[in-house]
Amino acid sequence: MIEVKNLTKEFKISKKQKGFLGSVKGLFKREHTIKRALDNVSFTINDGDIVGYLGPNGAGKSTTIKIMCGILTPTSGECTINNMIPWKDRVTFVKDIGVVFGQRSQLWWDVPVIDSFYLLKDIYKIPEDVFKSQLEILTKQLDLADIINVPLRQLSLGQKMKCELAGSLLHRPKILFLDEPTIGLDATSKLKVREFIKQINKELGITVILTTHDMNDIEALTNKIIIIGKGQLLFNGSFDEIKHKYKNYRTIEIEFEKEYDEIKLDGFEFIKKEGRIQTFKTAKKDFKIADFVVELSKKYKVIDVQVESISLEEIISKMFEELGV
Amino acid sequence: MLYFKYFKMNLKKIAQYRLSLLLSLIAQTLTASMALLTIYFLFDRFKIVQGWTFQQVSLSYAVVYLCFSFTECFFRGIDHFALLVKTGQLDGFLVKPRGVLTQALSCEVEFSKLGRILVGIVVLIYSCYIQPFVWTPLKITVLLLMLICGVVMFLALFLIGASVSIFTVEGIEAMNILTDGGRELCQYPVNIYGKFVQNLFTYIIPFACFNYLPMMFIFDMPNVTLFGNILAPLYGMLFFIPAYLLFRFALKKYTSTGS
Repeated sequence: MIEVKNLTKEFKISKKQKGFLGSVKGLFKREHTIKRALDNVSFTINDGDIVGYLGPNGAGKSTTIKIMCGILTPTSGECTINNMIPWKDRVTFVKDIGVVFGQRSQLWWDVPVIDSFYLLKDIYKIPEDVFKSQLEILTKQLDLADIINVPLRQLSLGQKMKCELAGSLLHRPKILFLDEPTIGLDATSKLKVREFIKQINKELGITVILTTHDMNDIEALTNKIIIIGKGQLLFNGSFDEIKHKYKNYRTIEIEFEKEYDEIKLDGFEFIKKEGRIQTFKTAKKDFKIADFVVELSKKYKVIDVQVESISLEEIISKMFEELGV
Repeated sequence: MLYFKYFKMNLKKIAQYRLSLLLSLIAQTLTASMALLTIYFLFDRFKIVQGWTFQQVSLSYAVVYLCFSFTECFFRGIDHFALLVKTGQLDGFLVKPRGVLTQALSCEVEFSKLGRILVGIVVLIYSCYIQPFVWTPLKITVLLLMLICGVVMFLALFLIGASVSIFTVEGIEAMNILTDGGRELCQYPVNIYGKFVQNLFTYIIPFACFNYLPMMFIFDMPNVTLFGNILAPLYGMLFFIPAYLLFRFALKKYTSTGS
């Protein structure tokens, strides 16, 4: 169980002064501005959840993750994970977590992956039998048998990510932090990684907290979303909840028999026109496609109408827009 | 011990680049030998500098050189600490259930510096051999103490450098003045310098504790005392304590600012 309460983190940023004299002055006296990276953020995450942690760049995502991993201490507020305070009980606490930071690796670049795993075994003091069985399980699930004896540098991005995941799970953590686990991966690798994350969550009951910019990750994996922007909590709830809230937002694409000028429709926002096809957006609550087509056909010759509900991506950018993030 | 597990990894790593290792080993050995030759020729000409004979200076030089090379070779990670911060490796250390210092000390071995160690050992053996006095067991013990103290001292300096690199990125070059400059200066007995440098390297950064002071005993100089000279390397090692405290403080700062 992860409990975050009124978490606030402020950074002091020293202003750089211009010119040579400025930098000399800066050696003795610095001006600071205070930046609030996290502002009173509270949420709870239950054991066994898969949580998507979202927000634009610079929203405070990695600050939160770093606090939860015990790397950073907050300015104020509480964070209790499995009855421990990460930054206070660091050494005991980190035994229970696995961390994969997107593009930086905890495996050795020039050395066969298996050797890195053995080093992790020593770092975490994993008993021989536990290590053996865990390694066997992970090798099977992630299909590592062929790549485990190859130096990391010779592996593809997807293979590397699979090895990173295995490396972070050798010590059987209860919580797994994933920072952009699918970034840069091809479609098949993405699916594999997602499938694996789901599997370890289901079979081993590992709580997963992941940051990502890939909305498909979120849709495929998470049962809970936390969204922050400008250091503030914007949303905390299930994926369905968020979809429900924005379910009236639709994109409508109409194909006409011939090319018309921009059509003005009441309650619809014109988006674009490509030849005979025009696109609109609406947030009408009582939108009924049949009525809409009938009404439209009175004035124009319509061939096809396609209605799409708003995508999660759009929902989130809409949220940021509304909140002025 | 974790250090040796890391050491094994480092060995496997260089096994991938044997030729490159060999070449840099040769290069390192050559440069180190050149530096030595300069001193040799200098003394060949002037025989005595500020009352110190060639034999004496060569011993002082060998001890400092060997200690520095040893530390630089086997504890490269702490010397490279700024890089660990920059690449985020430090964050990786912080999410492992081991001490940050242990991991930083263990993580990197710079095998190409073995060339320097080799030169250091050769010079040390040679300079022990050419001394005009007889090596008593006590003198050998003091010499060994000097070597240990020297390594600890350079470790402490690297630790201070590591701490400074957390506080300010621009501070790194300034730190090199202390480590590399300190090494260069104290290769010679400190009393050839002015009062200020002497005091700096005796009381602030106690380099003198592992060469000048105990060496006075080894060279049978007058006015040598047990506590003032023979045991000096032991005091020198105490320098590690404030350095470690500073490092702890710097780490605390890192975890509150993340940079």
